Amino acid sequence: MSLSENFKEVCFRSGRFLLTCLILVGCSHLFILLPQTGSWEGSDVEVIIDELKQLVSELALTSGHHMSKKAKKEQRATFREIQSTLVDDEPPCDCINIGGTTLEVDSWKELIQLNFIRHCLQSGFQAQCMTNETLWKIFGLDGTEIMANLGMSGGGLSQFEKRMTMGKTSEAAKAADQNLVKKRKNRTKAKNSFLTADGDEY
Amino acid sequence: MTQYACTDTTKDVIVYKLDETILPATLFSIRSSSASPAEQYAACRCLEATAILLGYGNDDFIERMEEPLQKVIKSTGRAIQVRLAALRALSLSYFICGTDIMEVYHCMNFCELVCQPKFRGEYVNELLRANAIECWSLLATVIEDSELVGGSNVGGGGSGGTYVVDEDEGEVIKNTSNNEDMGRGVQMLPLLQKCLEESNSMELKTACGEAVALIHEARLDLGLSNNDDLNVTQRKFQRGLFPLR
Repeated sequence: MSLSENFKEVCFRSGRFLLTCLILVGCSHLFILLPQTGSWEGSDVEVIIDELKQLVSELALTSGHHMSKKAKKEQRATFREIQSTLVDDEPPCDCINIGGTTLEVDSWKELIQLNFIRHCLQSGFQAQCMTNETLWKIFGLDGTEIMANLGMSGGGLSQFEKRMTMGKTSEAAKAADQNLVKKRKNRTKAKNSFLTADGDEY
Repeated sequence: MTQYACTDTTKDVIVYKLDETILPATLFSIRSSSASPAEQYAACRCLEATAILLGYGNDDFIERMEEPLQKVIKSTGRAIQVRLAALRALSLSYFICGTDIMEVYHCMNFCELVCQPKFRGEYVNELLRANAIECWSLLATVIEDSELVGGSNVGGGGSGGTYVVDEDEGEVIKNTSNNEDMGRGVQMLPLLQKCLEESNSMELKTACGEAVALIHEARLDLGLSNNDDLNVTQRKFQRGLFPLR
């Protein structure tokens, strides 16, 4: 191959390389112009999101006399949290103690699941969270840690079992109380027995 | 139930009694028109708690209670508290016990119908609508972010289409005429906005606000799927950055 043919070949390859570069740069500009995944900018619902942000901000500052003080306080607290996510992109933050283990809730997914399950279980929520493997999986709790904490604090008894056996309203406490009342009655009766010893009543 | 079924033995009792006592008794109360609303409500709550005690992988349980619970929710003559308890029981059962994601979509379609201002030709009570939105949000936590907030001129498809009910059959059918590429959450935004603007019910407003926050969070997470270990500040300032930028 002669020198001129080599030169032609180099020129041809350089030109092709430059063309590829130009196409890539063009594509990158095109991608920048498209709406971005992860934000609402440029999407069809951007206007709705802006209006929602405004609505939520207004609800977080509700005032007036059309609702009770308590309801207003609750509404403001709820919508402040929603506002911080919607406007400032901050996740919610909540911590609950389950059998000596702290469950940190830092996303709306977890918070919604937690509230729903808490509503369902009501007073049995703590007892189930400490023993139910399904709930451990849902909330990412370490079951062995919870069981270990319970073992350390209660000598093998769960918080619920402790309440049932050692609490003021437990069956054992009620029986002990009834026993005391019975003994006191007997003692009083014995003390006053001399008054009725001859059968006379005063 | 939830307080006493805390050990393996007591949980086994629940599983053992499910077919011979719990399901027949609760479903009888739900189906029976002579049962008081309090009894029907208690039966729904019992099924809801049973779902948590049974755990994942109990599709048979859902199959047996789905039809009677849907009938209760659709019956406009039943007490609101009973209808919303039935809806919550059904949704939580899909969330905890279900293994088929298509069934979850089906239940979300149903919730989308119940949370509309009108359902089966009648105006829906705002408390029931609030609970329908809460149930929808719960089920939305198990679907992919791209299914929830994809589309809307952004790459990634949604579940596609809106849903309407066939009044004759009472069945949910898919309306594929519009919004093919929009995620479920994106399609719900106009309704949520309307409720936040117009409703006087605190419960409905709160449920809508939480759903909006969930949708927004999913949208943010969609841009962070490759950067899960980012903190809040990084998340705020790096959200949606395109790699070529």
